[in-house]
Amino acid sequence: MRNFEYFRPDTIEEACFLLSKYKEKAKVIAGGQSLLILMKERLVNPSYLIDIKEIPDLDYISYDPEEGLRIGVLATHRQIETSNLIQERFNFLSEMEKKVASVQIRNMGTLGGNLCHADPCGDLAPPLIGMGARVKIVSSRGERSVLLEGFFTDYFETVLEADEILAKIQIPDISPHTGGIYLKHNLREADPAVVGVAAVITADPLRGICQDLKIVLSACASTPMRARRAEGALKEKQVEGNRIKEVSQIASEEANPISDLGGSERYKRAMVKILTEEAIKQAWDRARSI
Amino acid sequence: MSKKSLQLTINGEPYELTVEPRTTLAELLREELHLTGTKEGCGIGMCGACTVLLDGKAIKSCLVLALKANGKEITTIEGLAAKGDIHPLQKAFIDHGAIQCGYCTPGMILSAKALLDENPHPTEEEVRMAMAGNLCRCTGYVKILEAILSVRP
Amino acid sequence: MPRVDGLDKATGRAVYSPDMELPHMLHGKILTSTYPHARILNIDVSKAERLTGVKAVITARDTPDVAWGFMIKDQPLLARDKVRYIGEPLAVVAASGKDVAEEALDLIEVEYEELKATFDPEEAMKPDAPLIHEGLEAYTTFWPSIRYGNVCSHVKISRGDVEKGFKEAFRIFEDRFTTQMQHQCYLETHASLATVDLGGKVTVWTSSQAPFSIRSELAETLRIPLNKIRVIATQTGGGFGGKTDISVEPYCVLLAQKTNRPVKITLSRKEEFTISGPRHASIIELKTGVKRDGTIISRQAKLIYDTGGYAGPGPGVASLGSTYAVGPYRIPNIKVDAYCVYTNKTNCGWMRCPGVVQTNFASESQMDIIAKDLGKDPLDLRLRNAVEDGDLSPTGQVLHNVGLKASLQKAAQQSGWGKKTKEKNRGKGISCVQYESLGMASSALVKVNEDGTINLVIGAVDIGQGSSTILAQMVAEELGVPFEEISVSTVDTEITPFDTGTIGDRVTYNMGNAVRMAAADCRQQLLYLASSMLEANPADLKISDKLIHAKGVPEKGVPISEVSMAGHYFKGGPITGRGVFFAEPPAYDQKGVEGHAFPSAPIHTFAAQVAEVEVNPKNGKVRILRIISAHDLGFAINPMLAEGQIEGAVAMGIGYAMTERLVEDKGNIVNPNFSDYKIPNILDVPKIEVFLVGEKAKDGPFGAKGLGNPGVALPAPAIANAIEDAVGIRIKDLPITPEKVFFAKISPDERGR
Repeated sequence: MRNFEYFRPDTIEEACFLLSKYKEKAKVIAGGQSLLILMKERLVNPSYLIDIKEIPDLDYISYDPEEGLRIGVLATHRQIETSNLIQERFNFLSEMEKKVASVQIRNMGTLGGNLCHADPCGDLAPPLIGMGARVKIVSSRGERSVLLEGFFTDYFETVLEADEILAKIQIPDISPHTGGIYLKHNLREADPAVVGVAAVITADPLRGICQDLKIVLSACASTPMRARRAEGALKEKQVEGNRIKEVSQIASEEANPISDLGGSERYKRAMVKILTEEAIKQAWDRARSI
Repeated sequence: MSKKSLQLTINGEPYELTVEPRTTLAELLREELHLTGTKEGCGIGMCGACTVLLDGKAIKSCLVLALKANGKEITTIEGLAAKGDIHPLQKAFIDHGAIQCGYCTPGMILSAKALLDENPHPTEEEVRMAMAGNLCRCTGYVKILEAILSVRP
Repeated sequence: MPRVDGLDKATGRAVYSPDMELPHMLHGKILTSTYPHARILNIDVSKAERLTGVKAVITARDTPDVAWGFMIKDQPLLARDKVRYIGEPLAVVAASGKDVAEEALDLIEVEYEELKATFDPEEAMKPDAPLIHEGLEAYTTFWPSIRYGNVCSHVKISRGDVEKGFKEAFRIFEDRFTTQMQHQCYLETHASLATVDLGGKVTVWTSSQAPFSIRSELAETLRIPLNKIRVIATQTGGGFGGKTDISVEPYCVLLAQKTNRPVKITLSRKEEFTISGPRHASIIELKTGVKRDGTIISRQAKLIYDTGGYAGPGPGVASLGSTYAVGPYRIPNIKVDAYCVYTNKTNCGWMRCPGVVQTNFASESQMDIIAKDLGKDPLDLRLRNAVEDGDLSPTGQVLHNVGLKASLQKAAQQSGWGKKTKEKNRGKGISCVQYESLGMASSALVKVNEDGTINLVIGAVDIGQGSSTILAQMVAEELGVPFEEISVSTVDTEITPFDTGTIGDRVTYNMGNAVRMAAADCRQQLLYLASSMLEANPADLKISDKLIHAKGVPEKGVPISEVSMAGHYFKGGPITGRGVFFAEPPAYDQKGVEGHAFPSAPIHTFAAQVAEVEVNPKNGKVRILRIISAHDLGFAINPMLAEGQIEGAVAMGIGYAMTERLVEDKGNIVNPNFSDYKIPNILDVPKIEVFLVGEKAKDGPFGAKGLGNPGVALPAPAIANAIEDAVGIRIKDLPITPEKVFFAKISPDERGR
């Protein structure tokens, strides 16, 4: 790694101040599980490192009937995985976390760090986008709120300006009769996704149809992507075998994976189809069992 | 680039040091403090040979800056045995033939300790999930699994 | 019985080369080629030399003009006029810190003139291919090798008349298989530390399987006499063949010589994947003729091993592969042509069960192809053709202690072979293998101290397989002393007697025999000394429970310690036992074998495996449910250690079969890290059940043979066969990825792509 100046601010305001001072020359570090790899490979060489990991009270996981689930940017994967609250109300997030990397990485890595790293094959973004998450971004200039879906702009890039920090993630309360799941295809257990599909479906039990849904794909584009055409084919419709297959086919066509070490583009599309089919079935089952 | 001061406890002993910010915890332990029981196998947090406990939680020290350990308690393999005795996990690994070349052993034992401290009666599946971040090339994991499962009180 | 070094390893006290430190130590780093094939016009190190903290920069012109190589002497320490693969070392730097050394590398300017590069071994074999080693004909080899063009070694084996056999055959099968590069991935990367004293004596601490090879290769490349080189083996964090020959040691020595300070080099994991020698990729074409009842009458094999820019162990790999290419079967007509071919890619090396992991995938897969076609049970087909005691090996060597059928039957029995599984997409597959324990020299010393405790002084490194433990066990057994009172030395070429190395499953057999002899020699001396104290004939004495006494009269015994003490201080002298073992290379058919580096071996091991799998046709993922592995290793001196070896070998074989592939693109290694090069983790390895079978080997120490290698060669074909049994598709290209299975299942025209 190249050398750098190290700061450990005590408050988020201090962090913002430092960031506004050093801008592009600085990087914010939380768990460091992604950033340090980039720095060791010399792909990223900040002159200033702002360590926000020790800022107190930023790792909360709490629930509020109006806002829904609130997760502080420093909540670790492990905290999310083991949180009773999440297991009760948003269990598929905990499920997803169990399969992220390894325990050691989950102990240090944070939700905020993961989102800001903006790896399109990351596992956290798709289910969160599927739940309509919003993120709060702060800087010395003020704060703003953005839908997580719009947060990612390209491979490893987000809407964050050089002086901005991600502060909080908020997930609106789940409507009744909603079920969600995230499935990923990988070569070896605990590997990152070769492709991944998150499906969050809200059922209308009276009419027996899918009232609303989001299908979000990982590793299928330069950012996590909504399979909107696929969604459109199922929204307000009966959820049954043939339609699920159709919708999955559309998702596999909408997806934009590239051939790489994880597999050929053709295989990845086939996996998107299979995973989407499975994800819809399971999310639908969960939606109706609540 | 200025060095920064660092205060931490390692294996129960307090340390006051100054380090270059870019020093990783693994480098600090191995090169500056000569606690070479912690190994480095890949540098990118994939093999787990660098696993140590930070406030009781297993972490990969090659992916943690030394300065991040400020004010924390670190346990390395050297600190595992109470004065003179070896930890039941160490004994189990020896007795079950779970050690061959030994390079992954310190990391394995510490990951296992973190698991058992949190969950004293894990199922085989839970042990596998907890140990997925520690690679071994010699043993095929069979006897490592046996050793860990044998330590449940 | 737990291993002797377990406590040190479990407590972090064991010292490996990367842990070593000496005062005033410098750190070294290696600059490597960025072109696959190019002439070096100029290397300018001046800027690097001027960087603060840099103490020395060395290029080829600072080294003796020596080409080295265990098999073919074709490789310089640092590239001289040409580079032949991306990753070839060009220059080395010693500096006060690792970061400074790395920055220095960036300052070295190299001018290349690019040459046409060849990446495909079949292209390289064509007559018009650009020559990678123009001087091939003139290179020295230690055996009569056949070489031409870019084929650095052509090994031929023949017996009978294959064409006649094919004419008589009921059916002929022709299949082509391809296998990938696999890296050893020992968890401890290569590391060495060297110092030089004022008299020019070199001391090297290193992670190595064969310190005496390191010593001789250093002597050869640096032109230093053997007595002035001392190689000390630190605890080795895995080898698997990859730590047999010199790697970073000569650079440490060169830099230490130039700077007069200790120099340490530790390879990063990325450098391991790019500089160091992985398993050879191969192309194997098998043509087999069988009778209607399944008897194999003719087998022809063409093997191409892609060895990369330098021969390395390639010819040896090709030689071993050629011997076992036709499988452990009784076949009257054989023709094998194995080619070791240069390409401009990573230099490949020794890796566990070299040459045979590749061929066994091919030959054992084809056995099932044959079985299926003829409507025969794959187990029966193998049993029908399996070699037995007295049969000839493919090189015409008479085989003894053949536990092949026993292994097959045990594996089959334990896996419930023959009971058809009712579950869909599940299947069982079987494979077997024959391998050999290398011979060559071993020697040992056993010292009885004044207090009766024992020092076993040997030059064989325990790289994790447990050799120190079992050798100590042999001494304990032979001398009648408790295991706990035996200390095994570390390996130090200045002090410990010569051993060829911990390679090719040779230590148990060869060093075991030497150790046994040394212990027996001690025993003789003890009995002789005791005989005067007890006024008895040495022939009437025995040792039990540390007491030497007349047979049947233990109450009138004298402790070993007393005898030894007396020898040290009163009469007779200290007791030192010596053992030397060098197995005579057994006779083989010299007419039928040409260009072969290892035509016969002192002893062979056999093993068989059954894999049970479940295939998910939706995504092609293959779940391995169980592996049952039966091994004939003669006699297990330490069953727990033996099992551990086999379990590890099987895991490595599973990685070879399913997930591991060093990916190369135009000479560049694309996945040089543990994220993208995937070795099995604990979630990937299923239940492995190990069974030890076989009769004691007549000339093995306590009946033991070798062990560590063959397990790796079994999973790939067993799994491929199990997949065929489960879902009816045949994959002939490794690794067996879900994608390959998926497309083979979904669209048969993609099969074999």
